[in-house]
Amino acid sequence: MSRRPIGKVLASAGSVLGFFLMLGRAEAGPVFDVLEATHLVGVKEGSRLSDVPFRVSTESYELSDGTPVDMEKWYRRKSVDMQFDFLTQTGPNTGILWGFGTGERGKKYKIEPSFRIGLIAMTQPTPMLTLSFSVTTTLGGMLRERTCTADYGAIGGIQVVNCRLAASTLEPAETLKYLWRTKPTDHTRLGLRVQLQF
Amino acid sequence: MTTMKRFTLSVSAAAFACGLASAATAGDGVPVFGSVSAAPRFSTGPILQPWMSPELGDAWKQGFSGAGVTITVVDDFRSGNFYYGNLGNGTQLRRHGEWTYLETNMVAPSATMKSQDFTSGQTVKLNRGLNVLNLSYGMYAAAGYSVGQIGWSAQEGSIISYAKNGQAVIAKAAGNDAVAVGAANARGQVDYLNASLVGTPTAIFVGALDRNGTVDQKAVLASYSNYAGTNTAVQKNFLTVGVRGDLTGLYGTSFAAPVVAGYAAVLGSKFTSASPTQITNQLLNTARTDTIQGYNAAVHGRGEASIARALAPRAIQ
Repeated sequence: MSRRPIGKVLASAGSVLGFFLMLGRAEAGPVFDVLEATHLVGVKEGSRLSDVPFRVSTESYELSDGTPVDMEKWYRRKSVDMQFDFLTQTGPNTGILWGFGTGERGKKYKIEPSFRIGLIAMTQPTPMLTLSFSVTTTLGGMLRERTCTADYGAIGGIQVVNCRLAASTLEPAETLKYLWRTKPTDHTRLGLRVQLQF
Repeated sequence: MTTMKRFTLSVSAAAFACGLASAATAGDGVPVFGSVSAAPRFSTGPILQPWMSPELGDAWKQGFSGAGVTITVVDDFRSGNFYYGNLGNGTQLRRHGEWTYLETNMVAPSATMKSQDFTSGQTVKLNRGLNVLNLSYGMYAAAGYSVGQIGWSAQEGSIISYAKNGQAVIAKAAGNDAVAVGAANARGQVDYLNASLVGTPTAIFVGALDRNGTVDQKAVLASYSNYAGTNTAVQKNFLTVGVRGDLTGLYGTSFAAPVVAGYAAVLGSKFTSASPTQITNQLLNTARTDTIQGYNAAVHGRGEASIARALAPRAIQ
């Protein structure tokens, strides 16, 4: 069984899936060796979802007596969602894309650890033309938000609320509908790349 | 019993330009009995206008409101007195009540709006849920009478009763005589509607500031506006808001009261089980004093109404 290096496939994957690094290169061998055929192709700090609480962490509002409520204390990340992506080559023109995210948490939110799995395939109809196709899906990685307890005094009593919307016009109970329960934005991704060399 | 005259509490642009802080300029119609008028329909959306407090814009971000609250504007909807003004929809000519109605509706776009001509003499009907009444008029007679001597029509009688019993939030324009609420003006006239509402749990007297104050750009009481005075019962229920007549052409505490009426509706749509007394107290207790130049309770009462602070919790964790 002969196996061609799939540097172009990796390049395609790197472009389509946003990988940052491309380490290692598969080599041909008589026995399929998973470890040998697996390459770290991407490491990234943070994710699109972790940008959501980060943006909120810069906002603030005031309590009824004017005391500022700085949301940085609730939405500052205590740990960053590190993303690792790998490619395991399964054939001359095919591979399995997989990876994981470590998850992230702040005082009032967390991003669950995630696992990604997918396929990538390459074909070369002509020496100058390379087509690559990839598909990945992400399991886990949900952004979830915790509630706050607000004291509205005589007018509203003590209520469980969405921390961000406690001072809005929404009814306190209504704010709970807007708690983050968000899947990763790139939950399922399809990629197609056409590369023409001349 | 004395003869009362109704006056809308606007200040004409001409009078204002001349520095005259006179009370009424229109609407001194002879009381007549009539039916409750149909509510005018205005197509307004929640658009933050330059005359509004920026706090409203923040409030509207979360899909605002006023829903579930009824605001009844008791005002001049019938007379032949019209005023030019511009609340953001271009210069228009409207009756006094049509202006205050429109203004209230613009502050609380989702509220159920009702109107009643102030000469109707009929009981103001309350609706289910929170009721807010906007009164941008006064009932004037010569000074010297006690409140108990006034023979009210069913209309004012019902309003005063609602205020005493805490059945509706009453936003009452303080008046434009530059005197303390309840005191006689330069013509020896007293607003006995004001006097009758003093000490009631849900009446809010609303004075006018020259702008929406901020910590950096503090507001001052408009030259024409009545003030709280030394009566602590008035001070306790006196609020101020910015009236940007320089932008709208509409001066007077007539255009201050609708802002507070709208705020009450916004608050009522958030705290749906709150009583009129609780809504009133929340608006009063969260007023700001740090946005007013030389804040003085005898002038500014509780301070400048703040819808942002009224909506906010007092503590959160």
